[in-house]
Amino acid sequence: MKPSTRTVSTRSPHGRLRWTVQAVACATFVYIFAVTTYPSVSSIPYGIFQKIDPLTALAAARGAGLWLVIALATILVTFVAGRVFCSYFCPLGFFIDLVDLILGKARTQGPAANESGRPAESQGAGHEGRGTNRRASFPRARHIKYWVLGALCAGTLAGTSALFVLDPLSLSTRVLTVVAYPLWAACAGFVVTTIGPLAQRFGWTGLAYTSVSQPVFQTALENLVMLVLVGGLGVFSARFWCRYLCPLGALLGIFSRGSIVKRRVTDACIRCGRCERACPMDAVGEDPRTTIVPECIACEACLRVCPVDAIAFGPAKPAAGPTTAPAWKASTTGLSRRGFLGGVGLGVCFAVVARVNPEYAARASRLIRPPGAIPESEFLAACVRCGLCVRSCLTHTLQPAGMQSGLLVWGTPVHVMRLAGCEQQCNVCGKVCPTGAIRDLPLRERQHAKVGTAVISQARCVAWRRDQLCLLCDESCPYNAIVFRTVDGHKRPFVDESRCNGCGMCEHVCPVEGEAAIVVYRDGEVRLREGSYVEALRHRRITLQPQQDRL
Amino acid sequence: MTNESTLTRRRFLSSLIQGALLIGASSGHSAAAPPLRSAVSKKRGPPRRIVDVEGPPEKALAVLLEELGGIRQFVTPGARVLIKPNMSFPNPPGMATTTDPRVLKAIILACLDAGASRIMVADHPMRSWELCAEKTGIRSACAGIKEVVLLGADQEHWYRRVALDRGVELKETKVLKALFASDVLINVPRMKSHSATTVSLGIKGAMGLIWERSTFHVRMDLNEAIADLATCVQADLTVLDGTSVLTEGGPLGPGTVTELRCLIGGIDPVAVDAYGVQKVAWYGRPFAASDIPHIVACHRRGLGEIDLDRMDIHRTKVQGL
Repeated sequence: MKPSTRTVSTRSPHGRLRWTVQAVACATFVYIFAVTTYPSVSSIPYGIFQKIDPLTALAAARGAGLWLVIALATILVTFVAGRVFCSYFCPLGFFIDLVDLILGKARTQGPAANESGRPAESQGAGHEGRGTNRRASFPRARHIKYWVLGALCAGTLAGTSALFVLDPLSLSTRVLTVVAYPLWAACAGFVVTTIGPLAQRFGWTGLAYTSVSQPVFQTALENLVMLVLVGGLGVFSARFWCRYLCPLGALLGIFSRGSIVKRRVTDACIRCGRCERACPMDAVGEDPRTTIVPECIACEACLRVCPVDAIAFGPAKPAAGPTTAPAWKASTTGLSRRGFLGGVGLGVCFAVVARVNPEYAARASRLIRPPGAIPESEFLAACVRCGLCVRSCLTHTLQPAGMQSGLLVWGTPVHVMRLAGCEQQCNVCGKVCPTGAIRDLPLRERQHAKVGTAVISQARCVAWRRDQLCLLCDESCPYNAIVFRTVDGHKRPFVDESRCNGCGMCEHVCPVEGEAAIVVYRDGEVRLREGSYVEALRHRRITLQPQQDRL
Repeated sequence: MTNESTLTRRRFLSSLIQGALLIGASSGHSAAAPPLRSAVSKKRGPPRRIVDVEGPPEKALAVLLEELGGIRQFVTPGARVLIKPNMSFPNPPGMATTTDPRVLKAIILACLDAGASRIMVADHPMRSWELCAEKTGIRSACAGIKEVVLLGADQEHWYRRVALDRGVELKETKVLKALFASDVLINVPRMKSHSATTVSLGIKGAMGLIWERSTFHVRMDLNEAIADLATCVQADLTVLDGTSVLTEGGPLGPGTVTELRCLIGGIDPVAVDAYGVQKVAWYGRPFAASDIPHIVACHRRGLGEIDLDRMDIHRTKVQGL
């Protein structure tokens, strides 16, 4: 059977429209990420991409401020048009497509490539031609993502969202925060400091005194490795992550099963198998007229390579074309109920085992949470580890918890006061949190959201052990919580606990090397699911004097 | 085979490196650093005069400058001016922990009037620089004046190492580079109390022009180290912002704010501070310059006068809001 006279090579299997939509969506994602910083602007929909993710809504259901409607919209779209989210909107999907583009080229340049030594120009160049996405197929591995989904859902509902580290939007946001953002700052900083002296020479003082401060984040290495893995798995097949691992893809796959718009193949099909090879998701069945619907992301790659125009994406009754019989069927081999249930079981086990004694775990935790973080046990369920709060933090005192804190809390925001104190005039973290794990508080409330209490170690403090006139902690305390009393004829610092809100400015500036001589501990933190922190502190007889109150 | 004229990866990379080297060489980063200029005051103007003007900031400043012989004494046409306000903390001016933006703006306008070509407003903030500039009102005070460069010097590369020949505790430190590229230094500190040095006026305020400050507190005698710094960095003109004074709870506040409605200016930074100390009661009781160790240390080093009887004090009052 000969292909039709129409030259197929002019049509890339990816499609210009899809590239464009993906690029625009990704650019929007990165833009909103970039402006997720102090000062917050009410017109910017912070975390909108995280909220689009229905899985995030699952976590938020136990938190607060959920945008369930948006998440439902995503599901609704999937009901209508299939997994277009994966092919058009997912930033991680876009990244994977880009990597696949490079890896795909590398594949075709292998020993099996044609004699010219250049990649095949057209689809007709042979089986190893470009667009051959089905390098390796592991049909049974598709089940893995349902396991992941099941475990994630069950874990979240049972109280720990640790598996959200595998959520594609959480993953992309986190990678942007801890890898891309510092990388960008390093490059921009290098450029600015390099051209700075030149600018000064030319009298562009504005440019000459511009600077980019370099953020540093914990978990950068882990996240980088994750990113490389997610992209690098493309060596085995196109969209490896999406095919086999992505929990969100699995969820949308479940809903796309009954979608109105599906891949339809007419009787014109000549069974040349090009669609099968072009499909990045391995969603074309043994019989190319069939589709494994939950796997199909409606990218229309098959449609573009079909030499006889036998493929259409549309509702069950195609309006035109030679329609003798709808030669398609939704194969169910993709969706694994057993896998999902297995995953649920695993997730429940995980949640139960991980939280042996939630009360004890919460009490024993040494992590200092951002101001306005809901009570620890609820926080662990609500936090999707996206790192948006970490990105937004003005001083970068907020850091993703590293491996040393345990996998269960890996990626959740913690204060590292030694790096920086918590700026009392900033409440951005609560404003950007997509799930309400950190409450969106007005400044006055936020200043009363005590995160801990500073404790002076007299054995380490130079004012105590060497009678040094070091009053840096006092100098930096926004609440005048450091008081000096004359002991043995020398000024010695004490912490007035009734005035300390744990902001950590003192720990940050403490000049003692290594561990500071004044350290903020979680003791005395106030974690409220709802209600007023000002009231809560009044009950505890703590009278904080934030700066505004003085005016 | 590659064509001679095509851009190969290797050629691209090598030209990239060449370009970078070229920029690097011309930027003056390397060996060709300019010779170090002394940042010590040239002591222009009446050396013993201390002017204390009470009244609204703009008017008070005009009178103050006039009494000191006019701003042109300090700022010649084309001069590059460095103004050092206190903008270390993200506090509103009403807390009296940072320089009042009205005072700062009045000084900027006076410098412009005298023909300054570039006015840099710089401090080494203790907190997030963006926030400090915003909350202190200093960013808006500087806004719209094209000669003004506002610099929150929170990065080490803006400082350069300087040897302090006359230093006792402090032998070397990193000083703001811009200081050496300026013709005039005008210090405009807020008068405030300070938990470690009792008061923080002009001399203490100069710590905002250096990079490493915590060593002052830990490794050294703080008061002597401040005097050491004063041997190197001295303002040509000091104007104490006493519009309101944080007489207790400094340096960061919150604390007791006393409305003083005055500006105190002079050429001799030690004398200005010495006069400023006794102007208001601190922590509810009077202090003399001799009670403040770092001011005494400066005097002992011969950096300035602390005896009020030997100063030429002009006190005036201007009417206004």
